[in-house]
Amino acid sequence: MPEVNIQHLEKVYDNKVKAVHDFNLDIADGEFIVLVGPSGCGKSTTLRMVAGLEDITSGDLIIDGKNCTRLPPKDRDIAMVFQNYALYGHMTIYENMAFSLTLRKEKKDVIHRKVMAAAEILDLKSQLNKKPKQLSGGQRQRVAMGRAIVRNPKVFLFDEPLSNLDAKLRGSMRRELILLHKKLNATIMYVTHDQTEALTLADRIVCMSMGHVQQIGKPIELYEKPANTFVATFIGLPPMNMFEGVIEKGKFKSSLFEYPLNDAQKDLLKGYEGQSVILGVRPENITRDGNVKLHITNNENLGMNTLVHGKIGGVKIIVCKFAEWCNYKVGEEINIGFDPEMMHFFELPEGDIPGKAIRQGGENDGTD
Amino acid sequence: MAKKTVNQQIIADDILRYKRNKLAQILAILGLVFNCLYFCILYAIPDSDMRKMTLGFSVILTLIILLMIFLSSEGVKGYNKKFSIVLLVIAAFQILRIFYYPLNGLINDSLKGIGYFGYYPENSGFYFTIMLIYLLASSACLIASAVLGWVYAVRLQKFQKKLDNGEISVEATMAAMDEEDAVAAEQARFAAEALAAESIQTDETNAGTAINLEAEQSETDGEVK
Repeated sequence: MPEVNIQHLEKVYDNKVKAVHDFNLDIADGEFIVLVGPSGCGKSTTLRMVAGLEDITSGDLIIDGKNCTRLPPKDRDIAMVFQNYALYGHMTIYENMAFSLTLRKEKKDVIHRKVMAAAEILDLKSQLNKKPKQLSGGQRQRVAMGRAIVRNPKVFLFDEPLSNLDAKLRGSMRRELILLHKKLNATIMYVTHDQTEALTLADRIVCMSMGHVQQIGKPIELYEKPANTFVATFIGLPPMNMFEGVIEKGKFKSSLFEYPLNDAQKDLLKGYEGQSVILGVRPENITRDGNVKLHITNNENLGMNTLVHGKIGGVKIIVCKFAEWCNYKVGEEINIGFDPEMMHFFELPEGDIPGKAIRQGGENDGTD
Repeated sequence: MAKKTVNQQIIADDILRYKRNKLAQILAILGLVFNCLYFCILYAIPDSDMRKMTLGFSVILTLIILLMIFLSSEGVKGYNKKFSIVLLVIAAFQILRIFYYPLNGLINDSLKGIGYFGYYPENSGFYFTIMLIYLLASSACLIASAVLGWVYAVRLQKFQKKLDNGEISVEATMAAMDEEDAVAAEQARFAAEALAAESIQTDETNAGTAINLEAEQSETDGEVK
């Protein structure tokens, strides 16, 4: 039985703004789910509805078989970690971590054992007598996590917990979170707008945009098989390059270039002859051999690879990521091609609805 | 209250390392509050030669006492034994103070003019009693704070020494207690299961008895017919 079932969850605010549309998700026991998307996509609202901090307009929230849709937050047996830590400044770290258990009137020795166990896991034992202001951002966030751990909840909710930390600390905290998840084997729902966090932490990612779930899947699925143009451009850094064109006589023809299709691609696109589609290619899948002329506008050496920015046909700006150290000069022209195995085709977007990925035999794309 | 086991006592002592002695601190602050209440009355005594001569000294002394009590309250909070001694000295001084202004005021009958809350009694006994209560209360709080501070400080000191000498291990104690809890939980589960099984058996027996009774009844009914 899954630990958390979210069924047709919707949120409509008083001003009739619909923040979350028909959100469905089954989270298995011990699974690490990451909700990712741009600001305002409804991921935090969804998390807050699960936490009970926002009323659920419609739908059902079932935690461990118990319908929690209308339960107050305290009765849901969940713990939430916030971006701003939410620690009590006048209390020591020990008192902060013990606070929720003290409120529950647990025995002192039980509280102590739980706090010490959490402090051991989070390497906070030497900090227990300090006040939050004496700790670094990373340590404070660990305290916030410790406060959640001592409660031994059914589900952990994390609302952008690493956003306040600098890049280096964020990296180390990410690794700590992975270890923590392995140690506790806890069910975790984690919200972030940082795709690196999503890709590195998640067992499964829920990619959201404008209140809609765009795709649910393993990180590699979202990267290699994006369900639509939104997921394709949102996941991956630098984002996927997109070209609009028409499928004609075994070729992808855009106003800027023509690109021959291989047999598998022709087979895939046989129903789209004469129709407009979008070709998506990730910067790392662009090769330095091919018939497309790229006019270099910038060459960024990053040590392990080079980001080459350029224009095709003097208009379309694209980014290529070459594994080698390159020294192209601005204004230079090179030939590029696309790895045929990693070319993605999408239908054209309709208004706000992103273009759907074209898959062999209508393969499941992960959207509900 | 049930007596603590050895393990529980170790955990209780270990808690002292992470929790401040707030009770001792609160008591010391309470002693300070009673002292404040006392000097509110003290400085309301109508002019007398005695007060004119020592007023400045009295104000300075009061300020010093307030400061020392406050600092000591922070000291006992942090399990510092020295501050317990300071508190005891101040407590003794509070008792001694009874014999200066309050007692002199009573003897000279100068306390009746205080007019605290607009009340002017016929003699000085009323305000003497109030000053006496405030000073004794302040002293009692300070003594209690000092004793608590001393007891817990010694306890923590001894515990820390044992820890440093390796005589006890908090980790091992916690592991043992976790194990005890797990065993207790298992026993509770077994007990619950046994109870449930017994209850099912009783239900079945009751049902069987009911069926037999019903059969007997119908047999009897048949015979009657």
